Amino acid sequence: MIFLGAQGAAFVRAKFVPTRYFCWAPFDQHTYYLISVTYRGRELGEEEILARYHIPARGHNSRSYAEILHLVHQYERTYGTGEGYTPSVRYMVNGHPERVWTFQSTP
Amino acid sequence: MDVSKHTMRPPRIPLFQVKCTDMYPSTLLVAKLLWLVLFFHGTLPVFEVPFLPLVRALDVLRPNSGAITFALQAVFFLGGLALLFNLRPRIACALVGLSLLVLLLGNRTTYRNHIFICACVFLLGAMHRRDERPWLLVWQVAVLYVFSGLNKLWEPDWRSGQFFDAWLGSWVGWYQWGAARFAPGVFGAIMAWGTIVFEMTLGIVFLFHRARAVAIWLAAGFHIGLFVLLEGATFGFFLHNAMILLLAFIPWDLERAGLSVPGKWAGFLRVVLPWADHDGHISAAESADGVWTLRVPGVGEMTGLAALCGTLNRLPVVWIGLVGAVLVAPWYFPRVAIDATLAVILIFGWIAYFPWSAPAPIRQSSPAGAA
Repeated sequence: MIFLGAQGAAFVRAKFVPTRYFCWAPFDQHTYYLISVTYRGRELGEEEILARYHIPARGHNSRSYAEILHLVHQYERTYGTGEGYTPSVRYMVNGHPERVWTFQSTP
Repeated sequence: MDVSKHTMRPPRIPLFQVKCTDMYPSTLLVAKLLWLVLFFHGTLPVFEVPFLPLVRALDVLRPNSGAITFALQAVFFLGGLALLFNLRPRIACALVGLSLLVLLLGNRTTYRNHIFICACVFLLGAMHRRDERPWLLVWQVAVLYVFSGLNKLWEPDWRSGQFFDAWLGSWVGWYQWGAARFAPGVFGAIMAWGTIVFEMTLGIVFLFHRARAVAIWLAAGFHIGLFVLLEGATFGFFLHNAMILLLAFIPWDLERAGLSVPGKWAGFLRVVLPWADHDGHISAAESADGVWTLRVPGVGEMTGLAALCGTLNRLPVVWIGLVGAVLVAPWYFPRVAIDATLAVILIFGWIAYFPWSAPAPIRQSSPAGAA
């Protein structure tokens, strides 16, 4: 029952955070995204982006847009910190106008 | 005449046995089938941990990620083989579930609900003894559907129907047809609220023992309906997982079932049954009244088509064959993959759920073929 209780906790947590892991939220949102990354003025190709983040440069997520953003953010804050790559994500949620998120590295 | 006494017994293959272990039989069957689905959908190469873990602490393992990945793959693969061949199945089941859980926690890019449900089933299924009905899995299914509905209820775009318009409005013909008959957004809202209410109700109904047969039919119909209406969508392989998981709730009688068959079928069964019934679960005899009859202690009596389906229902080789057909069909019949898969799934569903919901009380005056 502890395991089931943990899922309940994940469900409650999902009400306060934008991601949807372990809380049974399939197809809560339909997000189309496009990741762009620039490095020293050059834009990375889609295969390079796939190699970097292990997800396609363009695709869709059926749980939450935030999972894409958090994934890119976590990579740049950890494995890619200080490398000078600047990713941005253009995404559209449930047919709403497109939004753009750009990673901001702290000096 | 007892059909089974005149047969040469082939070797009992553990792959097709579910009653001879310390695990509840239907749970063991479900675990075997789920592992086969996971394996044949290429889950083994997916193991790559840690990479952007959801639990940041797992990053300390990153310098040894190759060894960690290999270890998890070994646990998943060897645990699966142990499960298939009934080597300490409860332990194997738990280990497979843990490997999947570590995979999901250790790699943000591989999180999928259809893998998570497998991890849940393996972990919870391992907790049940042979003589204990899988009540934890009942709660797991209830949690799955209720939370799915509640999460959707929390989303503004679901409440307004915007989600459906955005998702289906551009490519699904029946949706476009329906939407054109209402004011903008209304059809999407109807679909959305219908889904929310259905999922939450389904999860709650699952908790009630007397209503579980209905819940199983509703769940099976829901997932098959999605497959048909969305032109073959399986949501990863959640469709496969959901259909297999429902098998866990069919009461798996631990005593032998008694099958009576008309005389012309007795010879056929004499040859086939030993090869199909590796658990020795079914004792067959020639029927005195020429009617197919299956008597299951503690469950009831089925006749005719229900008896045939009930017999197939109790043969793990049938399930493994059907699941194998579902997995393989798209490879060999790409042009008709959807139709072939649907046909197999419908057969699967019929055999699984029809007889279970149809048994009548065992008649007291018919000893022929009884266990």
